[in-house]
Amino acid sequence: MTNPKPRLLLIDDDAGQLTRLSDEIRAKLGDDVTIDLWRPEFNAAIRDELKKQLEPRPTLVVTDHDLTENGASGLFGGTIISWCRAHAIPVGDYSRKLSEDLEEPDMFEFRFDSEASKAAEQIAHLFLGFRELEDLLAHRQDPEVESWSQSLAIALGREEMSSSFSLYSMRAGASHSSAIERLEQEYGTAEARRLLEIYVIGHLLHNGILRYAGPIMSDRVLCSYLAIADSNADAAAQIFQEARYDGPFGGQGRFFWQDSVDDVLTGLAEAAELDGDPADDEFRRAVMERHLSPGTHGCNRCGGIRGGFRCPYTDRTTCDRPDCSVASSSWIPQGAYLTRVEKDYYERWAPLLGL
Amino acid sequence: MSVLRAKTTLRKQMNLAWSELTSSIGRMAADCEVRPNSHAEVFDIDREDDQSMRVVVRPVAFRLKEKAADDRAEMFVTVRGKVNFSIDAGMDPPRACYFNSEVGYFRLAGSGSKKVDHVLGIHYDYDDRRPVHPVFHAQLTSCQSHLEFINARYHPQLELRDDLMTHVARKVRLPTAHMDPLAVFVQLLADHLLNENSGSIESAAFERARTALMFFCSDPAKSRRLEEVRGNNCFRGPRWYPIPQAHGSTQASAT
Repeated sequence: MTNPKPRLLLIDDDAGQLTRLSDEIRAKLGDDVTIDLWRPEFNAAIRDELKKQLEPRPTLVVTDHDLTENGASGLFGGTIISWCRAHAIPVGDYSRKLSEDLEEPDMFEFRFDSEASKAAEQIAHLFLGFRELEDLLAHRQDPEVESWSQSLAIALGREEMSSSFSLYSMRAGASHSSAIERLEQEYGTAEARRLLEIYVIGHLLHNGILRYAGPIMSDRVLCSYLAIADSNADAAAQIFQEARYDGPFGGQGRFFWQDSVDDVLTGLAEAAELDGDPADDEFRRAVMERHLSPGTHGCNRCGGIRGGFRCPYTDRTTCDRPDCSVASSSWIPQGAYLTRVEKDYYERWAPLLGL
Repeated sequence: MSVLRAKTTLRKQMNLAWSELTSSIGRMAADCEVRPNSHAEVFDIDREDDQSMRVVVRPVAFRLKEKAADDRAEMFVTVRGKVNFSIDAGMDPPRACYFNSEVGYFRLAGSGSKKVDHVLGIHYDYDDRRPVHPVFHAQLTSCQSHLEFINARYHPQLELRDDLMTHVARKVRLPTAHMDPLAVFVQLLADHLLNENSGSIESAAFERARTALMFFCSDPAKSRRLEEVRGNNCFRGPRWYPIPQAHGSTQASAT
């Protein structure tokens, strides 16, 4: 018997939006994927209908925020999300009505753009990332692991990164106890473990490790790390090609391993006969000045020549000057050591939001 | 290996050790931790001289239980110091040729209290030169000033109630093991987060941290005194003291 095609479930109360989204995703993923559409209608037994829609188990569920227009009064994306989370099914939403508010990031939820073509791009990458992760975990060399972080590190061929990854969520397992129970009842212990592992690792990798820079950084964070302008991203990406991260969800942009970046940088410094510390942002910029003509990044505190970190909220380069950034924020995962909140932003919002 | 490459390698190893330590503490006791989280804020690595590289361990502050069985983490411990590594000894494994460590223990005066007592202060040192100093030794001392490190890392605005180290005999030099700052970290985990009832998860986390923090070794070749220890296969305290003049030239070369 051949394996069934992986399944993607799209939920929206607007038939036109469903078709547009589905067509865009189909164009990106081809015919190896089953894309099912669900337009909820008035139905007293919405729970049974939802249960039916989630069989067979999809790789990813995508829902609109407001699902009430077709008669399913009171049905919102939140219900779908809760249900999927309770069954450890990756789920994300978008909204065509609400603007994106400033809110605490949720590690176990995906957010997509409200514009169909952008959302389709994001959904396709996410879907492929989960498929790639599933495949990697199934073929990893040492299946006996003690933690999700070790499992991910082994799957990526970087076992030494296990502890660095673990800092992104010290207690990832504890919040899924009810999902474990459900999955075990439904699929048995071994399969429940496999499904939950894909679910937990996928979210922590996509929403934690790749979003909040630490052991892995995006090309924009690479520019911040090197204390150069964002406009130098293409040139920097080329120089640091051998430090590229090419694991799951890596197709959403250009990502780099921080320790490999340091190795490349050390080689560049040796070639230029420069002495210093690759952990020093000013030294990193000095090395880059020997290999390209880097721009400044526009910060008026340092004149755009310092760096090392990036603020995820202002999307700007920050450095360790006390007037530039703060290191600790409850909104930043513990392991994200290349992430610091810009001080002005922190002082404006921290008292209100507990940032 | 160039000095720059050696520095990059050393930093990578230090960073991994720090990540393993912070992650292990979380596994051993959910309410215990060490700050700062980021290794970038902990280690400064630079060349000391032509023969060695210096790693400065900036002040770090642990929040721990006094005993593993306690239900509250009411003990703060601060550590700072430095370790020097021989460049000429190669870097696989790195060899530590000098270190010092300052460790301050502060106990909350009571649950929810804003006051602490400074209950223990220790200075660990390596001395292969001065005649009456054991090669590895500790001296009790007041680390009262370390309270500012705790306040900077945890923002609790703690105040000192009592410094129990004020009148200790500071001149006493206790022969010890090689207690560089990273060795002290292992001791803190063992003393405060493990006991005979610890389960396999806690024990495994401790072992991972211990292994990660053991990525470098002492450099006995740098110390005539340790050569004698090894040569005699004897670890008694007297071996930590100077080699008698007739046996070697360490005294002369040190002065």
